Order: sequence, then C-alpha cells, then structure tokens
Amino acid sequence: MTRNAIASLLALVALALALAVLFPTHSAAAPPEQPIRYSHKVHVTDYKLDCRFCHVYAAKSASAGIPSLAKCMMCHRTIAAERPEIRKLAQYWKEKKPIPWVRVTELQEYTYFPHFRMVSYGKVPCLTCHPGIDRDDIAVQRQEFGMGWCLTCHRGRGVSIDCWTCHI
Amino acid sequence: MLNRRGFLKVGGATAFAALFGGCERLPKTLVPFVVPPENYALGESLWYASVCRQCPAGCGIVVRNSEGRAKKIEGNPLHPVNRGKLCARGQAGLQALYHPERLGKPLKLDGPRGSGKFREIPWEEALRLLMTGLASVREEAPGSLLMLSEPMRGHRNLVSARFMKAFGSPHRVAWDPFGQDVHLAANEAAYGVRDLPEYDIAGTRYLLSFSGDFLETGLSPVHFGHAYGRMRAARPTVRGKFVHFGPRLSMTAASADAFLPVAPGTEGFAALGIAHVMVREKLTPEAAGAVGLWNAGLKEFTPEAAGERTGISAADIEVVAREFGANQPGLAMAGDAAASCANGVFNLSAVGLLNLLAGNVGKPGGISFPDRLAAFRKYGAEAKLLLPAAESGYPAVRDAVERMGKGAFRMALLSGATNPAFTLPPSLNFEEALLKVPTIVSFASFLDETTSLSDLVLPVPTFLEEWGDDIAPAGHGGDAITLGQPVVTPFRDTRSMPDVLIAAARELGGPAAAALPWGSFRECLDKAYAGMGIDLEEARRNGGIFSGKAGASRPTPKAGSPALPKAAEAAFAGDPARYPLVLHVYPSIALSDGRGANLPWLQELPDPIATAVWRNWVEVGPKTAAALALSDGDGVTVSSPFGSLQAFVFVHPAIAEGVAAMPLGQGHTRYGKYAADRGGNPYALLPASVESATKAPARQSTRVSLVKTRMKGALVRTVHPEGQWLYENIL
Amino acid sequence: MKRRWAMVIDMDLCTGCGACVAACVAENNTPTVGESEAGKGRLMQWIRVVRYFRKEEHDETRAIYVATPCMHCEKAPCEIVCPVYATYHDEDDHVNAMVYNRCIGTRYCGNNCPYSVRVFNWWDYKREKPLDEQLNPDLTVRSRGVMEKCSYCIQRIRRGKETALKEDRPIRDGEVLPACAQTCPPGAIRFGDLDDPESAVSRMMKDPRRFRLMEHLGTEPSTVYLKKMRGPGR
Repeated sequence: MTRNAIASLLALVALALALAVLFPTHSAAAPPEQPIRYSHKVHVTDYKLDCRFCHVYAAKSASAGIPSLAKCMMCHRTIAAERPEIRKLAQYWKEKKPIPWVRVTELQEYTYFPHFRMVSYGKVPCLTCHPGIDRDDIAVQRQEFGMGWCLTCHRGRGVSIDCWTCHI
Repeated sequence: MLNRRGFLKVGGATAFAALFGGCERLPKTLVPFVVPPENYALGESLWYASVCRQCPAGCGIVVRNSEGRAKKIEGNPLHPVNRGKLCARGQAGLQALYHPERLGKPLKLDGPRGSGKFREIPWEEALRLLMTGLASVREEAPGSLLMLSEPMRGHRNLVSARFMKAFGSPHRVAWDPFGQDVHLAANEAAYGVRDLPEYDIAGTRYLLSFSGDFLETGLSPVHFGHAYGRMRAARPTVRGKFVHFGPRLSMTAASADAFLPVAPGTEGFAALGIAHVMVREKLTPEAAGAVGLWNAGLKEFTPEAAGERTGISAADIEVVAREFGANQPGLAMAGDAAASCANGVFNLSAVGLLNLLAGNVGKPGGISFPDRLAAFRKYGAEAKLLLPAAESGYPAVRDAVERMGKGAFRMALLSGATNPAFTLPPSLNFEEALLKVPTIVSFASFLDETTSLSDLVLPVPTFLEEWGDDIAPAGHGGDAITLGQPVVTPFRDTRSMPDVLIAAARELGGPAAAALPWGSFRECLDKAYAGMGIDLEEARRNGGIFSGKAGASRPTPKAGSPALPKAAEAAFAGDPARYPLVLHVYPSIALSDGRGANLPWLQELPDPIATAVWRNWVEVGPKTAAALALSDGDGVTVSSPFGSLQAFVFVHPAIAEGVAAMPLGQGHTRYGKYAADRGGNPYALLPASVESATKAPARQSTRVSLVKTRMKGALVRTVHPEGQWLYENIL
Repeated sequence: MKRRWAMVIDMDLCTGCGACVAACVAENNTPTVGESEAGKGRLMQWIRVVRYFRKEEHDETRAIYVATPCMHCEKAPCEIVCPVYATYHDEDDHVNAMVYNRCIGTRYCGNNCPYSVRVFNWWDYKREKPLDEQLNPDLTVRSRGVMEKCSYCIQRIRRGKETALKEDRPIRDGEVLPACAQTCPPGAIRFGDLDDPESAVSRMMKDPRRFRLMEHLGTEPSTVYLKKMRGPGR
C-alpha cells in the first residue's frame, strides 16, 4: 500500500478508536447503586418466583414495568419484615412514596421495543436479553443491545427486519 | 445527530417516562406505581370523553391521555353532533391546555389601571380581595354588580344566573358577536318559532345557501360538514346540488356547484326573486297556492329587479328557481353575513320564505325545530338557562357600556373568550367605560385585551380540565346532553368560575348561599343528573347522555301561511365618493372570532381561500383592484369612517366587485406573542350599527377605502398566486 | 401478514377545511415554524390542502381543494436517490418508510418528489414548555437535519396491529385510520387495506372517478383521488 493509503488507514483507525472511547455503546459498566438492595437471586433462583409475577406488564405492554410497591408489600408485610432493607421498603410504603429505582437495562435511542410481543408471542425467554439477572444480587446489564444482535435473532426466527418495525 | 450524551431525567411520580426523541437518553430513574390502577396496562392510553369549547358548536370529544398528559383530541363517535369528527380548532384545544402563556396564578394589578401590568398573588389573597369587593357591593348597592361574559353553557349558566339573582343584581350580560338574534327573529316571523332549527342537509336534494359559510364557521361546522358529506355520498343515486349566493367565494362556496356573487345585504332580494319565479310558475304545490303572497307584493320582485339589486343575472335567478322547484326536497339557509346587515331580518325572512314555498318545514331534507330542552323540562323556567343564550346580547352590552360610563357599576365580573375590548366597535369606547368601574375582576386563562384591563385576574382551568355539561345549539333533536370532565388533572393553580361563585355564595351567606347549596360545581352536576335516573359514571364515560330518541318537533304555526317579509335595504356608513368599497368581514376558519389567534397550530393553518398564514389580508376583485391601481401583494391602508389599518392585498378572483373583504381574528394587541401584532383588527373598522329590528350588531354596514401604502414584509401564502401549478397539470 | 395500505381522497366531499392538517400536526409531533420560515416555504405540515382556482363556464372561478399527503408511491422517486437507504418501500405494509436516524440530510429525496410532500427539518424547532407535553410518545421527535413526511400514521397502524394481535382477531376495515382520515368531517379521506377485497378502499379503487396525481409520471401512488363532480344544469 502507498504511504498515503497507510496514513489514511491509520487516521481512520485512530478516529474510530477515539469515537469508540468518546461515544461508547451501552455496555455493562459497574452495577448501578439502587435505593434498596433488591436481590434477584434471592427471589428468582432461591424462591423460584417467575419474572412475570413481578414484571406484570411484560406480557401485556410495550414496557415491562417495575413492580409496584403494593406488589412488594404483598409478601413483605410479614416476610422478612425485620431486615434493614425491608424496613426501608416499609418506610416507603408508609409514606406512600414510590421507590426511585435506577435504570439497569438500556436500549438505544429511537428504538421501539414492545415487550409483550417478545414475551407473549415470540416466547423469547427473559434470560435471552437479560442473561444472568436471575443470579444477580445486584441487577446488571450484561447483554449489549446492538442492532446486529437484534437482527440475528430476528432473522433466525423469520420475524420482520423492516426498519419501521423498530424505528418509527 | 448531535450530542449523544443525554442528560439525567427524573421520572414522573407515578409512571414511567416514555421514550422521547431528540437528544435525550432514556431516563435514568424508573419510578413505579405505589398501588397500580385497576384495568390499566402500563404504556396504554386512556381515552376520556368530554365536550369541546373551542367554538359554540359543542361537539363531543374523546381525548387521549397518555401517562397523565393529553396527547390527541378526536371526535366522540357516539355524539350525534359531530359523529367522531372534529375540526382544526377542536384539534388545537391541546395547545390552549399546554400554552406557555396560560395563567397559572391569580394576578393583581401592579401598575396604572388598565395597564395590564400584574403581579402574582396567592389564591387566599385573591379570594379575600374578591370577597371584600362582593361583600361591600352587596351591602351598599347590590344592583351595581355587573357580570359580563360570553353565553355560558349548561349548569354553569344556571349557577351564574342564580348567583346574580340571589346577589340582587339584574345586570348579567352575555356578549357573543356572532349571536343568532336575527335568525331567531326571522324564524319567528317566518315559521312562528323563536328558535334555531335543524337543517337536514344530508337529506336534501337542493341546497341554497345565502352568505352562509356553514362549513367553516357558524353554529356547527363539523356537524354541517359531516351532513354535507352525507348529502353528496350517502345516497347511491343522489348527489344533491348546492348553490351559494354571497359576496365572495368562501371555502363553503367553493364546495357549491354554482356560486353567484351578490352585493352584501342584497341576499333577501335574491331570495325574493327566486320566490317570485316559484310562485309565478307554480313550481311547488305550496308555491301554487301562494296567491295571497303574490298579490301582497311578491309580483313586484321580478328576477330582473332582483338582478339589478344583487348584480346577478335574471336568467340565473330563473334557472335556480326552476331547479330548486324541480329537485325537492330543497332547503334554503342563510348565514351570518346576511344577518349582520341593517336589513338582516328581511334577508333571513326572505330566505325562510323559500323553505315555506318548498313545503319542507318539519319534513326530511328540510328545516325543523326540535325541542332541545326536552330532557330538562322538570327545571321549569330555569331549563332554558341550560342552553347557551343564542342572542348576541348587543343591546344589553351597549346598555351596560352606557351605564359603566355613568358610573352605575361598582364591580364587574368578566369571563369568557368573546373579548369585548377586541370585538366591540371602537365607537362604543368600551375600554374607557370599563375603566370607570372601580373594581374589575376577570376569570380567564389568558391575558387578552379585555382581561388586561382588570384589577384582579382569577385563573380558570381550560375546558379540558373542567367538569361541565352542555346542550349543543344545533345538530341533535333534543336527544343529546354532552357531559364534560377533566381529561387531565389540572396542573396550574386554577379554580373554575362556577366553583369560585359557589364558594363566594357560601361565604356571602343568606339567599346567595341558599341558591347555590352545593360544595362544588361537580356536586351540583352530580345532583342534577342523579335525579334523571341515569348511570352518571357510564354517561360520563360515553361523553354524554344520548338517548337516540329525538324529541317531538315544535309546532310551526306560521308555516302554512307564508307572509311577504317587508323589504328593507342594507345601509352602509361612509360617503361612497370617499369610501368606494363596501366592507365585508367574516370570521376566519382558523381564528373564528379572534380567540384562536394565540394558538400556533391555528396561526400556521393556511386559510382555505387566501392560503395565508400568520397575518390577515384584504381581498378585492380583479376589476376593483385594477380600478384602484392595486396589484396582488400590495400594502394598503384600509380606512372606514371609524378606523383604519394596514393590510396586504389579495386579488380574489371570485368576489363581488366593489367589495373589500377581510377575515376577522387577527389584530390583537395583547393575548400573547403568537397573537399580537399580526396585522390590524378589522373589528376596529366597524360602526356600532345595528340590524334594524333586533338591534343585533350589523357588521356589514360600512364602506371603506383602500389606499396603496408602503408596508414592510409580505403576506406569506402557501399557494403563490402566480406560480401555482395548473390544476390540469396535476391530473 | 402483509398489507397494502391505500388512501382514497374523494374531492367531491373535501371542503378544504384543513381539519386533516391540524389533526396530522397534533398526531405527528410536527413543529410550527413561524411566519418568517413559512415565508421561505418551510412549513412542516405533512398533509397540505392545496387550493387551485379554475376558470369555468359562465366566466366563473371555482376553487378546488387537493389534500396532499404522501402518495406512498409504489415506484417512489424518493426511494431510489437516498444515498444511505433512509427511505425505502416497507414490504410489510407497502408504505414509503422514512427512517429518521439513518437520514443524513442530503435532501435529494425531497428534491425528487414530484408532489413536494417531503419536508426538511432546517432547525431544531423548540417547543416552548409546556407545549411539549402534548408530544405523541409513539413517534420520534425529529431533530435538525432529517427529512420527514407523511407516514400514513404508521404508529396508528402499529397500534391497530397490536390491538388486533392482543384480541386475536384480524384488523377490521376502518379500524386503523391515520389522523387525517379519522377527523375529516365530510369523510373525504378513506383508508384501508387493498389486499382486503371487501375493504372500502378496494371498492373505491374501481370507481370511474378515480385518478392519481400526475399519473403520467408512473410513480404508482397509493394515495388516489376521486374526481370532483359538478352538479347538472346551471
């Protein structure tokens, strides 16, 4: 290759690296600090609660939803009520204040992701997109949602890969 | 795509934040419900039914509420007036709700009187000021309290009426520049019923409209638009024919099969010319039997005579009359421009005569008078308060202005969107008179010209945040009561006017408290409808009570014996030598009487004929323009004997010559940045003239001159007058 | 399931009232641009009501309204010129799709459209708070530098499909309507699936009054018109 070509190539690589550093895609960073130390491991792996028991809207709506305070209190009015984290929960319930959870799983902008289609019709297991969350003491996003990753699954299942399916 | 780094967004208190576009990332905080609502799936929208108050039609609406925000207004498919359809002004109601200049706190005058300079005060202080004023007025001179509003609707009207009566003041004035006084009087003269009819446009075969822009403005444009669609398309072999007489090709006239330009104020003569031909040639059974009419003077109103007065040819009048006679059922309607002349009652009575000669009264495809208050008869005399006052209130307004000038009022309560400081003729000196009232309190959402004159402004919720009820003035047979409810939680610190009156009455005690015995306006409504044996929750979900059973039609005692209306001519102020053109003003489809001017969606809606946005204009015909050496786009000063303004010229290819036409609605000096300074106010060109019989405002009653003037800028139009495509090329 | 959406605009019913324009603006997060930008021809409305004056017999001038949304041409001139394939013909619904996050703003597509239905975001149009509370969450709010145009309210089509899916039934004819068709008072705008032989639009396609705008260009629009009629006699 000519000198010019190599120089251009290096410049391009440098640019790409710089951009990657400056504009990272959503990657799993350190797990975010939550207002209450909710452990998925305890509830899902140990006590075998189904995801949809708490995330009720996942099968019905575009958004999976975080369980309401009332749902937590269903059990925790009595169960483990003396634990410090549960006491925090009870305090929120007493004040009728909703818990400001920190978002863990993020999608790219301009993307429409209807949970109910995946869950009810696609029968995609929750752990496909949220791997390892059932064994997490603190929830963490492990799967990067790049478009290529989504398309691989869509193509494999013969589902629409039309742009407007997701990017309206 | 610019900055990819978003910024933190804290979610709402009870719901997840939705995915917003732009340069913002997904919210970092997710806030679930404390207790989830039943029957609600996250992310789904809820639709709440209510009533639209952007114009007097009172269409039923359903509003999409997505996570507490109103997103879209659509017509309520169950509502008989609009059947799921909605006009542009109805759609723009969302911008009134979320308007950046909407008042959120009570305001107290903080400058010279009438200056419009205010500072915010808390409600406690505002109510204390109100109560102090009311208490002292009631003690010393209760008759010196004035309430000046737009015609109120439903139980709100009842609450206000009871308040004023119990307070001891007879001065409750409702001002609507486009009131139907002349229609009421003409209907009484022609049919024997002082009421607004139903026009069965969908069922007619021949529609005659005399200056009635019923598809764009007027009493119920969505209802009439929907009916027009059915007239053309719902019957397999019948399309109907629509002939429009009027001074200009309006949007409504554009849908007509034939448009015949007539000089303003001569609509009655055109109608009599048609009536003459119908009787002369015995075109219908009723016409054949109208010998008395003929001898009483109809024989003088020949097509030739009519042609001379109106400017249309006698041959055209004869052809229209014959077609009308041959295509029954036929229907004749007259509109505001024919009514708001000095001879309005004559014009409308003559048009009414055509319906009598067609024999269509009470028949399909014709005109009928349903009892719209059938469901409320138990109220007795108070029942009629539930219908909005159909009159303009002009005589009462003028009387009030005169009394204000003489210092007869100590306190004025103002409300509504009809903005008298903007819509009344300048010669009445409304502003000067109003400022003689020592205490002026306004109930308002926006600081328009009238509200800005106040001493105290109490912010009210918009119609999308209020409880209420409504009986539409047209479009149903007495089988529809619309129920309004808040479609979002009110998010400004506002209180509805009936609630304030109820609380004020309670504090005043005595007869006032007894007359308004509820805790709130909602309680008043709940109690009123509870007694009717209906499921109020379900009714509110549906948007109203729609029985589907039209009430019996009211009798029309005069229908069988048509009388010849007394001919009268329109009168136009100004010396024709100095003011050569007759001024025709009309409410614009986007801004109506001016209330829509602060909504950007409406300002940016191109006018259907001029295609102009954000500004008004003056229309003249090509011959008139040539005679005045004016070209399209020129700036002119439009002067009447009463005022002047500047506007750009639009050479209108289909307007009666010798006429200058201007849309109403622009020319605000207050009312926010979207409304202010967008041309001159044509209301300010008008005299205080009245229609001779009813004393209703006669807007078509002045002449104007157009003088070329240098103006900055240009009229922005979406269809360039010279560069537009030829229709043939797009076919 | 594939669908072939089409729109039929009956010019004999259209009164030119502009309710469709306002409904579209409300539904699709269309910005208002103000007088000076409007003066440069930069209005952003996705459907516009174009008024033509015609001189006819008796020396009469009449006005004809042509409500012009995107034609969703089967052979769209805009699709073939996009260098980044930001606009293409959607195969599931047979509409002309516009993908905002792909667009790089060459404006070639807008230039190529013979119906001038494409509009460009020349600025980041600010919506003064709280007017932005009204924005439709189902649809992107476009930023500066992208083209946009009528989408047959794809977000409403999607919502209709989801509802039908959840209720385990097919979409009924007339159930899915773009905002313009939903609000039109005389019912001039009709919308439906051409692949459904019973749908209203399928029937209207056979109407002898049917024509397409600038049919000679061969763009094969999915938005068709029914000619305005004249009454007989005078």
